[in-house]
Amino acid sequence: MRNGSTAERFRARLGIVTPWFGFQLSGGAEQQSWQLAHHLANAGYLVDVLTTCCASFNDDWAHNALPAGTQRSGNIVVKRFRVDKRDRRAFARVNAVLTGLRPEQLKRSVSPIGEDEARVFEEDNINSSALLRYLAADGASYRALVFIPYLYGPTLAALPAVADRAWLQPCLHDEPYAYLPAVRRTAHAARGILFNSAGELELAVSLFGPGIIKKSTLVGQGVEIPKDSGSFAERIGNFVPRSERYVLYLGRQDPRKNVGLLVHAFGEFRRRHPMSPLKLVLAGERSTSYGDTGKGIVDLGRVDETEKAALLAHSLALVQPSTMESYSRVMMESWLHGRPVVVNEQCEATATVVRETGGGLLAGTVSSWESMLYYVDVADSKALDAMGERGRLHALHSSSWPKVIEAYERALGLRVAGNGPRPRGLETIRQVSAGSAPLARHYADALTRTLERAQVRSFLSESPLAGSDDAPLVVHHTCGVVEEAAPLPARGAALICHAEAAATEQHQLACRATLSGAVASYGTAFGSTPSTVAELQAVGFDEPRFLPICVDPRDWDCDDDRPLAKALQDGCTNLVYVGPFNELESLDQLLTAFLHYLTLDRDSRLVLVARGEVDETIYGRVSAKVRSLDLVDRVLLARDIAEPQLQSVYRCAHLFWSLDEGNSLGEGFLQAMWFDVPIIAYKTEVSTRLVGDAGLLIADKSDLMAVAALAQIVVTDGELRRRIVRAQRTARACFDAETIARDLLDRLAVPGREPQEAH
Amino acid sequence: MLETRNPEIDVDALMLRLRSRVSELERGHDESLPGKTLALRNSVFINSLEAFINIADQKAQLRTQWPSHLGGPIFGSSKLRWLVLRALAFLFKDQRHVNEAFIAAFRESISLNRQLIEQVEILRKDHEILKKSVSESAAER
Repeated sequence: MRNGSTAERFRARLGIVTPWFGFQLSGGAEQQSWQLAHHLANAGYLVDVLTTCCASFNDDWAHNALPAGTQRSGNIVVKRFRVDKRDRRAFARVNAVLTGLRPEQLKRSVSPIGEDEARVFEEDNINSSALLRYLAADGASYRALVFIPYLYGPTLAALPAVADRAWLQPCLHDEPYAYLPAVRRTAHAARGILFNSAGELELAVSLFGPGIIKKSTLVGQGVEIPKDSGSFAERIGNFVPRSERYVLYLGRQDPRKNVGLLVHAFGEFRRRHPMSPLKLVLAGERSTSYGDTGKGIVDLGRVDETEKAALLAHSLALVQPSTMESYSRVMMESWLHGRPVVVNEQCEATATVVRETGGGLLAGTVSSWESMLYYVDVADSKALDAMGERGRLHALHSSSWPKVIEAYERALGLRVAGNGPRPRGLETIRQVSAGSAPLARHYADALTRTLERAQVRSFLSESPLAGSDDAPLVVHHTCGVVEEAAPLPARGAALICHAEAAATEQHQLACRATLSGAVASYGTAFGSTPSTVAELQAVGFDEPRFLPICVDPRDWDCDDDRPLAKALQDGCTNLVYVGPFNELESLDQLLTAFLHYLTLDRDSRLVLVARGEVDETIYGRVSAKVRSLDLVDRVLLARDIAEPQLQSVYRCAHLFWSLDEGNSLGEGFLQAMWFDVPIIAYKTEVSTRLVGDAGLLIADKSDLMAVAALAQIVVTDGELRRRIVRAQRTARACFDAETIARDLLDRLAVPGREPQEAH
Repeated sequence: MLETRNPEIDVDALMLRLRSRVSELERGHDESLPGKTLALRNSVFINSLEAFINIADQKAQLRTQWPSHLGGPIFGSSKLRWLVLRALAFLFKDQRHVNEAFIAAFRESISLNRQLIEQVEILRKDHEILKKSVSESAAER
């Protein structure tokens, strides 16, 4: 059900911010912003396009070719702002450095260029101070502002100024620009991020970390369904599509789109098969021509819509060699005409969908492109048609504009998910805790984010249990903490019991007595570890439930520690343990296993991060052991590290490795799952509950060489890693902070917001 | 020793693999890291050569569009622009052929180098297998 009438929709004013805007512009992002603006306007929204006076990407970015001001284009309003002067040469110099970088030189969270050069890229990009001033003054009048695409001034400079209502539609590719600090800042600043394809979303998470997952939405991209073939052009210059055998490249003829590779592969193909009538047709804007009729390469330059339709309909296949695609609109257009595609296997966005649908072929190297061209040339037309049909069915399903607009409405908060009226929640939930304040804060945050219009009042450290307040009371109790020896509140809706690993037998007895006394006064009970659940059951609570610690990836929606990230991406394999330091034996075993691992992979590093319960003596002994084994260069030992540093550790980790035997809260496991780090852990109650469905559990660690060999297999076997990570993604959803909060709310019978899923 | 409820992982197959890896380690066999490093270095080197040649190839193409930053009153006329582009195309026709020939030759050379590196790698692996079997038979004797 739509959340609001048509009249309400008319009131919602939306802005699309893009550097260039016009019907005639052929770039992917330009076409997307044009079509999105018109389709949103057709759906009833007031749409303003905020753009510059620069005519196109190919024009001088400091030249105001179009008049500034407001004009109406159909049912949208276009506001153009004058571009600023810029140092074109300085920008070109930095741009040349960036485009010359090879993929292996790019490291996550590390700027590929120096700070000064990065500043030149931002300041001498296409920029408009007038647009910035307008957004500062009138930005609040928009319900939502969509910034397309990510790498130009209007997005990099303006988005942070209106971050509370800014959605970034990055049109992201795996290219050097995506690694710039300004781009990371923008991605973290945006209220939401919209993606064209699943591959693009994957890339963004790998570049910006799991902090963006909760605010990301896969909206897809709409493509117009082709009209009747009677309206297609018969000929384009001297070229008659109907009577030719050709493969088609459609789009900007730019070296960055890998056209050179395609032309080279086609040349090789023609050299080996000189009698083949197959031609390569290039259609799209270009500054230099690749055309060579002698070699069968036909350059048609820019074509209009009817010519494009004719070329697509009569081609044997569309070829898309670019690795820099976030979606590839032309691929969908080709499929809508029932023609198969050949795409670059190194492009996540296009290759993923071709693999899934079977609507085409994949090629990477020159020789594989040559083989695919040969295949297309000699293949049975029925086989090509069948591939094209599979693609057509997918395109019809995924690129329909009504569905895409619906996804935008949901993402921008213009439409709510689910059916029926929203249940009214309680206004307040009270939480009380003395010794377990940080844990209680985790739950409080999760509850606040989950409850609809409600407020969680946490009384941490003190206990102002005002008698008049009848909101449900959630009490946190930690067994073994002296401060909690005080009696529990007389009545409460729920009791959450945590365990202190260092608790003495005397503490445990006291705790058991406290819990026994609370059985009759509390509606329901939860244990944050399996052992506390057993304890609650033992004292007489009816069906106590396991409620693991809340880990919310939104806490990492910020920059990580760049110097540390750079240091950890030096080519070494990073094996990581993050958790308590309260048991010497398991840490000792981990060090010995790592010594074995070093015999298998000399370029590896063990990162030990002490978090949670840290015993000073044990920490000191581990540190001494690292020195005595001469592993100072190979083992990074740290404690009390800040969140950005922890984020860097996880983002650069190849494996989470725990031989811990204690019943920790398992926070490290959940964090590793969010960072897609495969987990190998010693089998304990906690690891079985949290990791058992996805990662690998070691039941016997007597042979540490075998443990090391297992770690090496997981680190080096890409397919095994993928399987573990895939299952970990499913598992983490069960332990998501909102799912946990919902579990708690269900027991309290409090309705809350539907869990928000990252699409 | 190993457990998981992940339905996508065949624990028995993984255990088999682990045992074979451990017995391999106990026999003292290890893959040669320097070989891997060499292959990686060669591949990076060849890729950078290919990047250079792609730039050269792109720059060697016939220019058909006027550079957007070269405007002003002198080159404002589209007819003049067309004439200049045609004149440049005519003047540098021979040079273009020379460039194209060089680029083609260099591409062939890169392809040959790649093949040679692959062959060296195969030979290196053969050599290692041979060395291993010699040491095993010596141990048996």
